[in-house]
Amino acid sequence: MRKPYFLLKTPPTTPEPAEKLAPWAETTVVGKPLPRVDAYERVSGSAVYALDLFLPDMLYAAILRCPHAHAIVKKVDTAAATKMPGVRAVLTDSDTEARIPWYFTEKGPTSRLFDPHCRYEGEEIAAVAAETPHQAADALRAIVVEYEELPFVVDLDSALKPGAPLIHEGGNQVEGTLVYERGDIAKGFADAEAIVERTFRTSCEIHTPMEVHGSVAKWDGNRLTVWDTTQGVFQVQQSLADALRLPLSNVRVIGQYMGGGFGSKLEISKHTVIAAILARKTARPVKLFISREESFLCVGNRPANTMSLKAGVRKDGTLTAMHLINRGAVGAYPGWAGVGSQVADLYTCAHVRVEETCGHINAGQERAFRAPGFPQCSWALEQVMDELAAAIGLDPVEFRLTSIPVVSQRQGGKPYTSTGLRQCLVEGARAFGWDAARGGHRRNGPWLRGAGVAACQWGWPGGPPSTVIVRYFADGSVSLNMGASDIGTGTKTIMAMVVAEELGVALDRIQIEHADTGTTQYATPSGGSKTVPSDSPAVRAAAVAVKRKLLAMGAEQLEAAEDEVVLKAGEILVAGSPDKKVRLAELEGLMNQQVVIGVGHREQNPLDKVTKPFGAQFAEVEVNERTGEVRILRLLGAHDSGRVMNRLTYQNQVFGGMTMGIGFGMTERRVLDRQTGKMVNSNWHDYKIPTAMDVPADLTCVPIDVPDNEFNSTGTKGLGEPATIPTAAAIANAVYAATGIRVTDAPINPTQLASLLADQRKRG
Amino acid sequence: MSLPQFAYAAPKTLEEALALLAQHRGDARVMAGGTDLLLKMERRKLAPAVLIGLKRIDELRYIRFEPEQGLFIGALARLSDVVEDAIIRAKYPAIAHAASRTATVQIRNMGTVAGNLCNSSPCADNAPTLIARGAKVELVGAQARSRWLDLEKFFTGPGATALAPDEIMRQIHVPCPPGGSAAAYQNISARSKVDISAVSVGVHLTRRDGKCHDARIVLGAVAPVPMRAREAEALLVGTGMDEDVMRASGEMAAREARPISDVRASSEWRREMVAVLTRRALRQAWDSIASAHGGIVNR
Ligand SMILES: Cc1cc2nc3c(=O)[nH]c(=O)nc-3n(C[C@H](O)[C@H](O)[C@H](O)COP(=O)(O)OP(=O)(O)OC[C@H]3O[C@@H](n4cnc5c(N)ncnc54)[C@H](O)[C@@H]3O)c2cc1C
Repeated sequence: MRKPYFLLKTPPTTPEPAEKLAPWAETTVVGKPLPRVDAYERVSGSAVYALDLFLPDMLYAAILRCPHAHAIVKKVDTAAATKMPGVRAVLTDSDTEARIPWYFTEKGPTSRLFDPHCRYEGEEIAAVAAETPHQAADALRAIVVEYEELPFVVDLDSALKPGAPLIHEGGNQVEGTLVYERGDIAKGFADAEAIVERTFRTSCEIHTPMEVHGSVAKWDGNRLTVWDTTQGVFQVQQSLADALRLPLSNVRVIGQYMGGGFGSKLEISKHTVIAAILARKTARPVKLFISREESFLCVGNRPANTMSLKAGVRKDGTLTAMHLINRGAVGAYPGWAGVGSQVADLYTCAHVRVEETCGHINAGQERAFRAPGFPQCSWALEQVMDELAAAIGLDPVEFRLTSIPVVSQRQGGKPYTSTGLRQCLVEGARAFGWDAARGGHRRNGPWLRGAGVAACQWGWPGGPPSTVIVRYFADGSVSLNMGASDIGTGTKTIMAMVVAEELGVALDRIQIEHADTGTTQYATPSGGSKTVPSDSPAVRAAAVAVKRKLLAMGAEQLEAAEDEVVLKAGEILVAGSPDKKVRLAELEGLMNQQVVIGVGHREQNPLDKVTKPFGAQFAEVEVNERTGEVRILRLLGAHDSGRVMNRLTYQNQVFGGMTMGIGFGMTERRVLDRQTGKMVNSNWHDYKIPTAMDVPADLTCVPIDVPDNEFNSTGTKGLGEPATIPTAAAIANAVYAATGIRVTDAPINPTQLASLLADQRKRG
Repeated sequence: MSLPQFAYAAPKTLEEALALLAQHRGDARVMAGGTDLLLKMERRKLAPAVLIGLKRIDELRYIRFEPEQGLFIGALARLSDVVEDAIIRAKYPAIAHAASRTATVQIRNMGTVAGNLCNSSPCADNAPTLIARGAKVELVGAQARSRWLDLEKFFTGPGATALAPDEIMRQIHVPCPPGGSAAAYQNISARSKVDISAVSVGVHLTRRDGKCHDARIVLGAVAPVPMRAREAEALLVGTGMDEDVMRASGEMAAREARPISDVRASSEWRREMVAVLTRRALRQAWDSIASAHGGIVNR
């Protein structure tokens, strides 16, 4: 199976565009607060999600999962299940077609589709396809499995101790401690005038997108079509082709509307392959959706981390050294739980050392989760920054402003194409009323009030490959054909706005074909906050290619030179001769051809520079000193993500990111029972994501709207992930400002905080 | 998750429902809003062969107030009906408040107060105030056999009640509030704003000649069933209810509580919260008697 795009060492490329497009000087559509182009479909229910698909003769499938944290399957008896009413196929490890390798390291597979060695609660054992979902569920219960239960371990500290139950033969440590080092931290700490050292812990967080994961699979001969809940149809196509040994061209994956993924739908999941095999076995279309409860166990999570961070500073605010030791639990299968990048890159610091060790536990595998590793790092780094500022008597905003780098220290000192971190802090603080909010402790009965700040940087810039086709029809309507998925972020809206900007076409005259490997062009999955910066330049290039052709036709018809003509309001005009013009509807070349096609590719990123989005967030909270309850009064996010393409979708991302940050910081936590190794809160009743009641009405988005024109032709950087990175840390810093208590363990729940407050009272 | 298989009956009268229940003795369950029952069935904690839906029995759908006798809440009165009922809001505001603190809008539009009680969760939000207000419940069995029970005696353990397998709760009765009395409800969660209560407290106070004449404190979610904190009550009677007395009573209630640690909260925190919430509820109830002094409550 191929690795997801973000693990590839050298990213693929697409051909360089024929011309380097100059940045937009001014825009008429881009940047406007326009509603979603598919808003009506989404809110009226006419949008067809994979779950909405009902094909003739379709069967329903379900998966039997291991109820134990660690076990060997001795025997699977499917005799009774096979005979149950409506059951059309049962699939287990004894079917050779199901012996598909799964969970890869550099060295090869570590498991297979129905591996008899089950390493976590929820691992796949068998699957059934039946005429109705209930018949499938009943049949699962009729499968008799004999297990040999094995000792298990569900926390990393125990897993890495000698004598711990072995999850893989080679041991529970993921191979290799990653060490990043620059300068000499011993020297840096010797130079410091104040040193802060603390250990922080974050909890394992589950993605829980609104739409659960599932696929509908259908065969036509040896051609497979899969409707999938995915962030990247080409990723799933590739994985399916590998698993089923099919040519890419025989696998069509469609994922047009989808209801959120946050990284858990970046890669293929086993259920998709299982649906395809069951569909082949039964010669019927098969729908396989996992349940909400299953989605807590087996489609990824943000791993729990333990981070010890030591940092030194001089009284003038110079950071002298930082040393991070991080340990993270990746779950039962290969993965990575590193967090260190911001420690190495966010602030100017000569001496840095980062050591990261990952290990296995008997729990579901981690997956990329909205800014993988970054909110965890922020939780530690930004709280330590707060403490350092206090140690040298500087305001936390002032202190951060002393250490803003203009180069990426981690990537060979290359300069950034743009860095708006300073504006994020300064303009954010101004809009928030930072100075007033910090002024003195305020008490309101048992409620203590405080304000905090945290800054951030995000790692993936985006880039090629991306290919887009724009078709301009004879009546002036347009088709935009691109592979990217719109995972709810507004991708389609933004791309249509780019076309409208270049061609002067109204948005409702643009139709979008996307996220279909059978009919649309290649794009990487929508993840890494890189869809807009990766694909919007390709869209622009395609639209410009169309425009060039139309202009050439106009020039020919008007008997003018190509560089004399311009496109304006549906007409081609000759500069300087007001009466020499032709409406596009009367363009002979277009009438003859009926369609003009433009192909656009994403240009290469600049080789000598580095691109990163930046941000800063501010929080004001009240803490009840007896109950430990926290009221988040307001949050403000100031982000530098390059050009603001659409003020509304931009704000959606910032508000959504902050909301998710509240979950990470305040409420969300996978609880694994040490006695059974099982998750005790695998449902939305007991696993708490923030609701409208947990999010303040007072949310503010402050865009730092500075196009990054050196990075790409639309001047855009990513936003979706940075928007969730610093929220929890900003809240923790506000809690500190209110109470004087450093909460090192996320989430900050009232139970923990009340006991810390009680300890504080006892100390006097 | 899918439900186990079951047959569904939708009788139109209480009599029919009781007959069905008797007929399927032990193998049937009645369902009101289903917001507790269906979840338990999905998780295979219950798998009744027959579900008897009560929703079509119009005679059970009422909220009635009789000036001499007090309040009657029929088995089909939904949580949202109780929240919005004008008489309950005026005369029993703490009962309306407890219903409003139960679950979310969607659940309150389906779930009933009777269902909340019959489900017998230690953290049922409506039990503490109703017990504090001296509520009784009417249980009817086959051949219209009826008995009244103090709500306090109705709960026998987590998920267990005094209901016999062939009985249905017809209604809840709350006596008229005595003159110069008030009740209050306080609850808290340790996880998020929409959650099952980790601790709850319902109190009822009567004031005579400026002193506390009668006190009832009922704690939820800190024992296998909602429990009276009798020693904490005793501390209040005869006092002028100053801040120190209320604090001492809260601390006594915390000592009487028998909380456990679970996925929702630790026992230490729960105990601490009993003290905080009891004091808050006492203050709130006492203040509302004081502010109504000379007004309707005191006559
Ligand atoms: C998301 C969610 C959140 C919730 N939050 C809360 C909360 O914050 N606080 C809280 O207290 N509860 C909460 N609940 C639990 C539940 O909603 C309440 O207990 C509700 O009041 C139950 O009423 P119902 O009518 O739905 O009961 P049902 O589910 O219909 O019945 C519950 C039980 O009572 C029995 N029963 C019902 N009516 C009668 C009757 N008349 N006679 C005899 N037996 C009867 C049933 O057989 C069943 O055993 C929540 C539930 C959900 C799903």
